[in-house]
Amino acid sequence: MSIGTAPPATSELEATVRRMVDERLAEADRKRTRRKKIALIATKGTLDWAYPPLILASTAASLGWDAGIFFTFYGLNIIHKKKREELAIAPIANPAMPMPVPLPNLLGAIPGMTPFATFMMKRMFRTNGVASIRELTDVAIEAGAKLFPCGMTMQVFGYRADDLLAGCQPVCGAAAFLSYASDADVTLAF
Amino acid sequence: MTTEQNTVATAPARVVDARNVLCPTPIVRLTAAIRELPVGASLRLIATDPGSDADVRAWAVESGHELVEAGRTGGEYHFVVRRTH
Repeated sequence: MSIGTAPPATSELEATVRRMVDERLAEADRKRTRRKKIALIATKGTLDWAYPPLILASTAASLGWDAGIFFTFYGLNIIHKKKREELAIAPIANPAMPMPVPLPNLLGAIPGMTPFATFMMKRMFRTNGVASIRELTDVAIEAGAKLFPCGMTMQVFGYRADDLLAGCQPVCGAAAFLSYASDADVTLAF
Repeated sequence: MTTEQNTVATAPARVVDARNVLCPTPIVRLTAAIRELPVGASLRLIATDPGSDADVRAWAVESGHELVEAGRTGGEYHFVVRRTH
């Protein structure tokens, strides 16, 4: 404070501090009471990559959060009526994939290995009580999660709105999803 | 989180069986079942997912419903939760 400037009157200062404290308290209160929100992006169309966003969104919705997933690129297949049934997993270039016997990874290139690995993985999931992708997409919709289909990808891949699950949100683009995600508490991309 | 008042209460009639299913199914079933209860009523949840103890506690914090009891017998987790709103 320069010497020439008179300090503000005590009452004025007090009023300013009081107002600032009130504003902070109101903000903290808003944060505490408002519904939490999770905004996810699903870009992959393989069986393994389909699970995490669906599990997180259906759980978040079960916790009472506002949950949304933007499905773009191959991720769109997860909410495609027909393709969600055909999601696959390729053993090639996936050294972490559990195998009944140790095999050189290159053998994953043999025709039939991808359907075989997919069959094995689905069976492993089923015997352990993991929900299928069909069940999880249905659950996510029932629980109130918002599934946003990317319009750009739909155009490029030649998908029509009625190729997608009925419970999806209207087809949208990046701006609409950003607007949805802008006040999210958790954001993740898969 | 067990309170004396609640341990003496009669066991809830509604039982949600989430044995032999894994995440997120126990939490999804729990949520669906609690929505069918009147406010103030309780249900019992049985699960075998090893993550259920942490998950049901987090579910109670996030959803605002009350976790009345939580216990474990062998590989089974037992919970009593009450719908609060």
